[in-house]
Amino acid sequence: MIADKGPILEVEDLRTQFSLPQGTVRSVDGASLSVAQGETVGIVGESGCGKSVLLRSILRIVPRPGKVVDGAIRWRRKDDTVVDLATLPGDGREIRMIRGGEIAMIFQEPMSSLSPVHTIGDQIVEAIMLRGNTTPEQAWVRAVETLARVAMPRPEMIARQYPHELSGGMRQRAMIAMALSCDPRLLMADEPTTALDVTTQAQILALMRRLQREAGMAILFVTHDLGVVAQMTERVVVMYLGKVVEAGPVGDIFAAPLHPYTHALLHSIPRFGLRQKGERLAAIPGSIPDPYSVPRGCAFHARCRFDDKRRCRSEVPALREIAPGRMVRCHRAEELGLSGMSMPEPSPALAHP
Amino acid sequence: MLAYLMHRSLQMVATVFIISVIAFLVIQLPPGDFVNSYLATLSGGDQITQDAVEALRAQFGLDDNLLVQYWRWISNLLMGNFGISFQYQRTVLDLLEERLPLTLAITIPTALFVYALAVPIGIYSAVRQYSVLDYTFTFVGFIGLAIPNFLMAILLIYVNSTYFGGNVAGLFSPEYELAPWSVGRVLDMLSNLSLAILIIGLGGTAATMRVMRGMLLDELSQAYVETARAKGLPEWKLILKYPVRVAISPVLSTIGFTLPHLVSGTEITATVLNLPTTGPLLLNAVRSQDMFLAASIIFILSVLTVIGTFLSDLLLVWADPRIRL
Repeated sequence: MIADKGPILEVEDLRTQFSLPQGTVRSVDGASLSVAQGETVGIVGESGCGKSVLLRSILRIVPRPGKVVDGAIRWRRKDDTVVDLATLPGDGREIRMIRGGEIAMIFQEPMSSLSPVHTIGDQIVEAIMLRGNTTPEQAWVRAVETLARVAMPRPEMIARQYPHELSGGMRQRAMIAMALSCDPRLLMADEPTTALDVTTQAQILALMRRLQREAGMAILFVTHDLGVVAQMTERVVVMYLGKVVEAGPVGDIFAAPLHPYTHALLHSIPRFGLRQKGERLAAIPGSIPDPYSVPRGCAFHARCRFDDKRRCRSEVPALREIAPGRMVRCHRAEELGLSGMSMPEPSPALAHP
Repeated sequence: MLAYLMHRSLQMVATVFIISVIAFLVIQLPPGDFVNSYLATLSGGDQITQDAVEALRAQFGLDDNLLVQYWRWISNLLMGNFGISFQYQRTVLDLLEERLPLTLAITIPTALFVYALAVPIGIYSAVRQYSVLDYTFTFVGFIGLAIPNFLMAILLIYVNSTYFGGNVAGLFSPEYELAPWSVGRVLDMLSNLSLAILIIGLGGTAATMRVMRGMLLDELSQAYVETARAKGLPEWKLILKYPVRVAISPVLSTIGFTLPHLVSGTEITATVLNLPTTGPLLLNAVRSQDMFLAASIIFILSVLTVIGTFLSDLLLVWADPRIRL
C-alpha cells in the first residue's frame, strides 16, 4: 500500500452537536483520526457512541439540527491540495463534488437506502452523470459495467429492476456499485453488513477487500462487530460517547488493549469453547449514559472496573500517544496491564475471495 | 398491461351497473313519489281529484312496477335520453347542458388551483418544518379546514358588500345581470368566478397541503434520501426527485374523488353564492323526489368516480413501481 504519502483524511478535534429543546447532545465530542491512502481503518463502539455521526460529519450530511461546530476535516484532493471540509458551506458546490465523487458512502440498511421508485440503473446513472460529461447512454453502459465489477449476476437485467425485486445481499452490491461508480479515493461504510445474514456478510466483506485491492482506495469502516474489524481493517479507532478512547494497529489492540473500554469490548465477543473452559461472557456493566448528562471526569468511569474514585471522576483524560501509533484516553493506561484476546479466525469466504 | 386494462374496464362496467341499480332504488326509498311532493307544494284550497292524481301518475309512469321503471330509465339512459325532470318540465339533458359548462368552468380551475397551490406549499412546509412560513401555512390551513366553505362564502359576501359595496354572489354583478355580452361583462363574470374558486378551493387546498406535508415529512427521514445526499446531489433537486416522488402517492389517489367533485360537491357553497351549477340542481332534485333528474346526476357522478379511480390507479402505478398491476 502507498502509505508513505501521508494521510488523505485527517480529522482533528471534531465536534458535532445537536441542539435540541431538551439540551445539547455532543454526538462527536473532540474526535481525531487519520486515514492513509489505500488503508482500511475501523471505527468501533456501541450504538450511540457517535461513530455514524462522525462519518456524516465528514461528508457534511449530518441531519438537522446537528451541526459541525468545531474542529478540522482535512481532505487531500487528487491534486494534493488540502481542503478543510468542516469549513465548507454544507450545500455548496465544492463539498457536493467531493461527496460521491471523491468520498463515497455506503449505508447500513440496503433495504431502505435505495430509492424504492427508481431502477438500480437509474440510481447509478445519476451518480455518474453528476460528474464527468457523459451522455446518458455512456453512463448506462458504465453503470452496467460497475454492477459487473461488484459481481452482480445478470447486470444488464438487474440495472432495469427496482430494489424491491432484489435480495438484501444484491441490494448491498448495488449500493457498493453506486458508491464505486465515480472511483472514490475513500469509501466510508456505515455498518454495511449488519443487516445481512452471516454468509452474505462474508461475501460482501470479501467483495470490499477485493475492490479495495483493485482500486487502491481507502476504507473507513464503522462497525460494532469486532470480528469484522479483525478481518477487515489495519487500524482501529475505538469510540465512546463521541470521543476516541483508543486507536492503534488492529493486532496490537487485540493483543494488548490499553483502555478498559476496549478491554471490555474484546471480552464481550462470544467465542467457541467459552463454556468448556468454565468462562462466562463478560458483558459491560451498565449502559451508555444519558446523552444530555454525560458524567464528569472520564465518561466511562461509572462502568469501569478500574475507577480510582478520584482522578477518574474529576479530570477528563487526554488522548495520549503512549507508544508509537498507540493512542489512548485513560489516566491509568500504563499501570493496568490489560489482557488481550486472540484475533477471531477469518471466515473461509474471506480467505478465498 | 393490456390485460389489466381489459380486466379493469369490465370491472368498471359491472360497478357502474350496480351503482345504477342502487341509485335508482335509493331515489325510490322515501315514502311517496314526485306526485305526492308536488301536491304538497301546491297551495291548499284547490281540490285535486283522485282522478287527476291517477292521471298524473299514469303520465309519469309511476304506476308500473320498479323493474319496468328501472328498465325504462336505464335503456333510455344508455341511448342518451336521460328522461325528463318532473319539476322543471324539461328534459334532464337540457338542464345539464345549461348548468354543466358553468359548473366545470368553476370546478376545473378550482381543482387545478388546489393542486398547484397545495403541493408546493406542502413540500415547502415539510422541508422547512417549524419555520415561520411553515407555522403560517399550518395556521391558515387549519382555518381553511375548520371553517366550512359556505360559511367562508357568507363571510366574504358580507365583507365585500359592507366594505367594498360589491356583490360577489351570483354570476354577475347587478349592473351586468341582464346586460348583453361585453368585455366588461366577461371581466365581471371572471372576477366573480375567481372568488368562487378561491372559496371552494380553500378547504381542499388546506387538506391536500397537510397530506403532502405529513407524507413528505415521513419520507424525508428515510435512508434513501441520505444516500442521494451522499451522492452529491443538490438539496432541492434530490428532494424533488426522491422523497416527493414517493410522498405524492396519496395525493394522486385523491384525484379519483376529484372528478365527481367537479360536478357536485359544492352544493351548499354554490347555493350560498347563488351560482347556477349542478350542485344545487341535485340537491333540489333529491328534495322534491324529481326521480329521473336525481338518478341521472347520481349516475353521472358514479361513472365519473369509477373513471377517476381508474385514472388515479394508473397514476399510482406510474409513480410507484411497487404497486403491482
